[in-house]
Order: sequence, then C-alpha cells, then structure tokens
Amino acid sequence: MTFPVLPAHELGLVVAVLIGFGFGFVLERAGFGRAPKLAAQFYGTDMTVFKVMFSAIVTAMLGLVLASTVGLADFKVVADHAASATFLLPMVAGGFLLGAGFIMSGYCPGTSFVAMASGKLDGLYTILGVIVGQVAWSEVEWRPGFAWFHNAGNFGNYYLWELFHLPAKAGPVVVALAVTAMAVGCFLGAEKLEKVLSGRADPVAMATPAGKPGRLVFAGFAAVVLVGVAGLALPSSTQARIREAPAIGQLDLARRVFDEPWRLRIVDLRALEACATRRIPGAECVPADKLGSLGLAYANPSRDLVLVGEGDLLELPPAAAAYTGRVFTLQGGWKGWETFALVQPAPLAAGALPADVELYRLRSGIRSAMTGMKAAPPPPTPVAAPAGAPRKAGGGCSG
Amino acid sequence: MNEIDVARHSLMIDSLLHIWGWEIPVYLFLGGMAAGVMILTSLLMMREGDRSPAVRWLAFAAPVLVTVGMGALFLDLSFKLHAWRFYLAFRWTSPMSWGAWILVVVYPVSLALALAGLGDEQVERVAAFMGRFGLGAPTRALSAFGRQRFEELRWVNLGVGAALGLYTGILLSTLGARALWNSALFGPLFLASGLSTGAAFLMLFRLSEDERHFVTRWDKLAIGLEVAVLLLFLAGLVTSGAASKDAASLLLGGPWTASFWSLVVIAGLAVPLLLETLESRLHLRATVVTPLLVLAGGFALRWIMVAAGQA
Amino acid sequence: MERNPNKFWNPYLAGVALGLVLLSAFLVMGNGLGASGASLRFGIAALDVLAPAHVAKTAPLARAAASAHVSWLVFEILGVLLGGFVAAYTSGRLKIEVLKGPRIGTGARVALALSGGLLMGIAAKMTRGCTSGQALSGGALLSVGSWAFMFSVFGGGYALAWFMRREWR
Repeated sequence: MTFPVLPAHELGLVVAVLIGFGFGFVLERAGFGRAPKLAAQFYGTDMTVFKVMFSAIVTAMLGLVLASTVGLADFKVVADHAASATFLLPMVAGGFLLGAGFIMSGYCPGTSFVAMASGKLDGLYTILGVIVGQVAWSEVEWRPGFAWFHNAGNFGNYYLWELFHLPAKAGPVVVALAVTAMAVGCFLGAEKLEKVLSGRADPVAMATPAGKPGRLVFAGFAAVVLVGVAGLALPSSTQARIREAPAIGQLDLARRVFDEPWRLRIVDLRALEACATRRIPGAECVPADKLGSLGLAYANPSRDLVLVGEGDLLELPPAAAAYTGRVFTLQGGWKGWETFALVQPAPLAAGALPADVELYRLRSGIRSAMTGMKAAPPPPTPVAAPAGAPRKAGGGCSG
Repeated sequence: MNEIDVARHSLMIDSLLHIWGWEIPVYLFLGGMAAGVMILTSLLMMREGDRSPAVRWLAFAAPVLVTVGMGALFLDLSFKLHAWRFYLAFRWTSPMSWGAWILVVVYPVSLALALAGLGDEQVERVAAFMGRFGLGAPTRALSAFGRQRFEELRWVNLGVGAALGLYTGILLSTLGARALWNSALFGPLFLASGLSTGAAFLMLFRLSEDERHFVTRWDKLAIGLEVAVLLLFLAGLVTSGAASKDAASLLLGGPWTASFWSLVVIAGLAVPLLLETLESRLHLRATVVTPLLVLAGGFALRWIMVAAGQA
Repeated sequence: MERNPNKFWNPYLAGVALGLVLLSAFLVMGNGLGASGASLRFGIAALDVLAPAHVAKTAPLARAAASAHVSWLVFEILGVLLGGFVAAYTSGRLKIEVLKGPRIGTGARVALALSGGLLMGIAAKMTRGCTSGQALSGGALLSVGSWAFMFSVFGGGYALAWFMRREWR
C-alpha cells in the first residue's frame, strides 16, 4: 500500500493550501459562489449543485476504489481515517437543519467561503452565522440533556457495504458500481427535469445542460460500471486478489520452534478446549471466529504468523490476510503435527539411507522434547483488541 | 534593543535570546517598503512623459514610512534616551551604525526629489503648509536644489533606496550566532522583497494606466528575484554546516514550515504573481487584493524570519 | 475584455475536477475536504480573545482547538479563499455585492443569510461536518451516516423551499 502518503504535519498544512486552492477554484467556476444558483437547486430549475456534487462523489469514489483494486491504497483504511463515525440521529436531524439553513442563506458552509472570496457580502454574513452557531452548539452539546442526542445512534465507522452485508473485500467495489450506475440514471433524470422547468428558470441561475462534455462524463461513468461488473463476474479477477499463504512443513516449524521461537507467532485456530489440552509450544489459542479480535492488521509484522487448523487450512481467514508480515499455514494442521511430532516414528530397517536415519533422529528428538516437556500452563486468554479502533504496531502481540 | 556582540550571543552566556518582538519585523517591513518606494519613484521619474498626481505625491511616502518604522524601532530600544549616541560613535564594522546614517540620508534625498517632482503650484502648497511651522523658506530652497540636481538626485535616491533595502536584511545577517540569519543572501532577499512591497504599496493608489503597468512589471520582476534568492538562500543553508541545516529545517519541515510556505511563498509570492500575469494576459481590471497579498506576504516574511531566527 | 459572469463550467466536468481534488486529498493526506472545522477554529480564536479561560473549560471547543485535522482545514480554507478569489477574478464575478432574488430587500437578505448560517453552524457541529466534510467526502467514502445526512439535507432544503420562494424568485 503506497497511499495515503500522509506527509508530516507541517508539510501537510502546505499541501492543504494547495488542495484548498483547487477546491475553491473549482467551486467558484462551477457557480457555487452565487447564492441564487445554489438555491435554484431546490426549485428544480438548476440542478448544478446535485450534478457537481454527485459527479464529484462518483469520481473520487471510483478513483479510490481503483487505487485499492490495484493495491495502491486500501479503501477501508482511507475511509476509517477520513470519514467520521456515524451518529445516525444527530446526522439525520442536523442534515434537515442544515438543509433549512442552506435554503435560507443560499450557501453551505464551504461555498460561503468561496462567495466571500468573490466579494459576496451575503457569504460573509453566512460565515459569521455559521461560526456563532458552531460555538453555540459546542457550548451545549456535552451538557446533560443534549449529550444523549448528540451521541445518539453511534454506529462507529459504518459503511454502506456493511449495511448491505457485503464482504469487506468486494463490498466497496460493488457499492461504488451501484452508486455510479444510480448517478448516471439520476443525471439523465436531472437533465429531463431542467428541460421541463426551463421556462421558469431565472436568468442569473440558468441551468447548464450536459452538452457534449456532460454526455462524455455519463459515458465514462457507464463504461466504468460495465467494466467493473465484468471484472466482478470473472472469478479469476476476484480469486487473484485473495492472498495466498505458503504452507510450512512440520519439520521446518519444529526447527524454528526450537531455534528462534521469538520470530514466530503461532496461532491455533482449533476449538478452545482442544487447543487448551495440547498445542504447539508457544501457540496462542484463538478460535477461528475470534481471529478478528487480535487486530492482526495493525500488529507488529516482525514475527512470522503461523496458522494451525484442525487439518490443512483450505482458505486464509481475512483477518489473518490483513497481517502485514509473512503468513504461513501449517501443513497438515494439528493432525499432521500430531503424527509428526508426538508419535514415536517407526523404527528404521537395516540399510536405510543416511537421510532417513537423520530424519529419524530428528523426529525422535523432537518427540521426546515435545512430550517430555512439563505440561504447559493453561494458555492466557488472548487480549482482545477493541473492535474498530486502529491498533498501532505491537498491538495484540502477546510476546 | 541592547546591542549584543556576536561573540557573546550564545545560549551559554545569554540564555534569554528571544528578545525581539513585533517592533523589529514592523520596522524591517516599513523600511523595506520605503526602500522599494524610493527605487520605484526614481525609476518612474526617469521615464519620459507626464506623471500622475498620485506618483508625484507618493514620492513623499518613503520618508513617512521610514518615520513610522523608526517609531516602532524606537519602542524596542531599551535606552530610548541614548538613541542619539548612534550618531556620535560611528563604527565601520557595525551595520547598525551604517543603518543609522542611511536612515538620516533618506530624508533629505527623498524629500528633495519629491519636491523636485512636484509642479510649481504644488510646491507652493507644500511651502505654504510648511510655512506654518516656519519652514516655508527651507522647503522652497530644497525644491529649487532638487530641480537643479534632478538628474543626479534620481540616481542618488535610487542608490540610497537600494542601500536601505539591503541594510534591512544585513542588519539580521550580521548576527552570526543566529544560524538562520547567517547568510549573505539576507540583504538581497530583503531588498527584493522591499522592492515588491514598495511596488504593491504604490499599486494601492490611483496610478495612471501606464504607470500601473510599469509598476506591475517591476513587481513581477521583484517577485521573481525574491523567489530565486529565497531558493538560493534555502539551498545555501541546507548545504552548509550542521547549525545551518538545523536552521533550514525550521522552514523545511520544522515548526515554521506551514506558515512560511503558505503565507510567504504561496499567498505572498505565487498567487500575486499569478494574478498579475493573468491581469495582463486576460486584460482584467486591476484589483486591490493583489497588492494586499504582496504586502501581507512581505510582512509575513519578515515576521517569520525574525521569529524563526530566534527560535 | 468583458467576461460573462453568468458563464460557468460544465457542471459534470466541474464535478469530475472536484472529484479529482477530493481524490488527491484522500490519497495524499488521508483526509477529505471540509470547511466547518475551519470556521469553528475562527470562532474559538475570537472566543479566546473575549473569554480566555473559557475554551479550555469547554471540552468540544478545547478538542477542536487542539485537533490536527482542524488545523489542516484552516490551511485548506486559506487555499479555498485564494483559489476562489483567483477564479472569481478571472471569470468576471469579483464584485462586492449582496446576491438575492428580485423581490427581497438587502436588509432582509442579510438577516436571512445570518440566520441561515446560524442554523447551519448548529447543524454542522451536530453532524460532525458540513456538506463538504460530511456529504462530499464521507459520501465518496460510502459512510452510512454521510449518505443519511446527504438525503436529509436535500429533504430539509426542499421542505423549506416553498416558504423561502420570495427570497430567490
């Protein structure tokens, strides 16, 4: 993952000025510095606000989805960083209030800055109002009686693909394509509506029809949807995205358990009871469905993660795939380990090859070491990482 | 301000190094602006043709700006009554001695040129006004002298202006203990910045179309020079010793980075240059915001340099 | 040269351009665009002058005053002002005026702008962001709250539009 770049704080502020310059420039050129043009949105005569906002959302969303598909960024990581948590009740109620303020002042907070920059005094007054309103709500939002409302309906970082119960990997792509398809439909509808109401448009807020460039944008969005759907339909394209974990042989694992246990993190995915009775030395007992609670995506990647299932692991759990270090699955799982390390190997016939003799020696040694060990103390219950909260490197590390 | 010698200027001896407040940046800003105004009025007077009333009267701005700036400087002096001693003890090696004398020379030169640039009737008005303070005759005499020596005076005024602009920067760069200020480019940097703020100051007034173009062209040139010197200055710091690198890092990632690059470089140099270029390319009406941005950027430059240098 | 102040960019192309700006903010900074954080910081600065100890005692204000993200927004808004100015200057829309419909006086328009701003300020604090920070940035990131907010904004606007028609039409 290469993005987001996240420059140092001070440098980021300089970048902020440049990005803001682009933001302000585009908003002004789109006509967002003029209240009558913005207000016309709510009279159906000029749908510029809707067109600009929706095509901006679609563009940024598709760009980010594309960046995550090719592995340059991770949609969810960016979203967790940049989007605020969902507080459903205040967001719906506040949205209504903001819509009301929007039609009264003719601006939203962002566009009022653009209006002020182009000399519009109504924009300046809107900003003054916004400042007073924000400070006023800050004064009360934490007081009893307000606080429950201000924090009502807290879903944390909650995304549309989670709402529709889509898998975390493909979810953003599917929803993004659906939103894009919906946008193209809405754009065509908006064009129709403007045509119908064109007689009532007022001269300072004339609708700008799609024209040739607009149709090109429609076509581009539609093409993205088609390509995206085709890509999702092809099984190979999604299969290729699933991370493969190489298998580690029992002998290799045994060697490493003896030689460098500090570079291993063995996670036993079997049921807790089975694991508690017998397990590979140093293994953590984390049933497969609890794996997410380890916060592996943010854990220190310096140790190699070894997953131990009942038998061979057929697919890599997503929580483990998110681990940034190396991930192995144990060949043959616990069963394989049991027969390899815990059972006395069959005696060799006379005249066996030197390599077999060597292996026999090793296995007997391993077995005696493993079984001769004092019974391990009951495993500590793994400390669960708080769900959703990003853990910095080192989190979830039991060592 | 107590003059602290370079040798004593170290953390071990004077632990309280942050001694310059708002007064010094204001003084350097107004001094630089006055220098720019002097240079530009000289250049405007060297042109053929008529001058607008605004330009004629604006020649008086330089001494006024210097006076206001010195007022700020005076507030900063710890021993205000000792200020006159600057003029008794001239030291060749001290930029403060030089500066004190440059400031003195600014007045007669710029006033003489300003009076020489006025029409007869206007000179009479000034003389009548000054007559109330008993200064009518000297005013007329200065005007007559100025007209007699108009040719030379324009060059002298230009030279004094350039010296004033350089001095505002050199004043800082001689304090060698301050790693950020320890650069030979401080003089040229503040001169270029002074020229552009001076041009911006002139642009705030009602110049004729022709003069505005002339001043704007000089402003663009000054901004371009300032950017070039600024880059050389930073490059110089980065490629010098460890102390200089530390000083450069104040502006390249350190605590002054955001304000320096956004206020000085983007808002104070890049955007005004863009606006001036667009103004002439697209034939737009001039806007007062462009010079205001230049002025704000010029002030921010001095403020940040003075504050960061003492960090 | 006279410029037609009623000529704007094609809305879809403007939208794509805006989307690219937003995308660059996501990819470079890991932040979305925003505006209301910056105005809150201005309010805090004013409050700091009037009642110095007050901000530290009010948790939401103290949080915003210390937030690195809000600092980012302040600098972003500085850029918005510069960019908006350059755009208005070069498009012939730079003019000191009060924009309004034909049937309303300047005083009433200013009063409505102020009170509309007041409502939006309360709302923006409630919703953790305004149309830029919440609807645009959060919408592109597919946040449920942002989409609920967006529908709600349009709902509120359309609901009140009929009552406000004298201001605009």
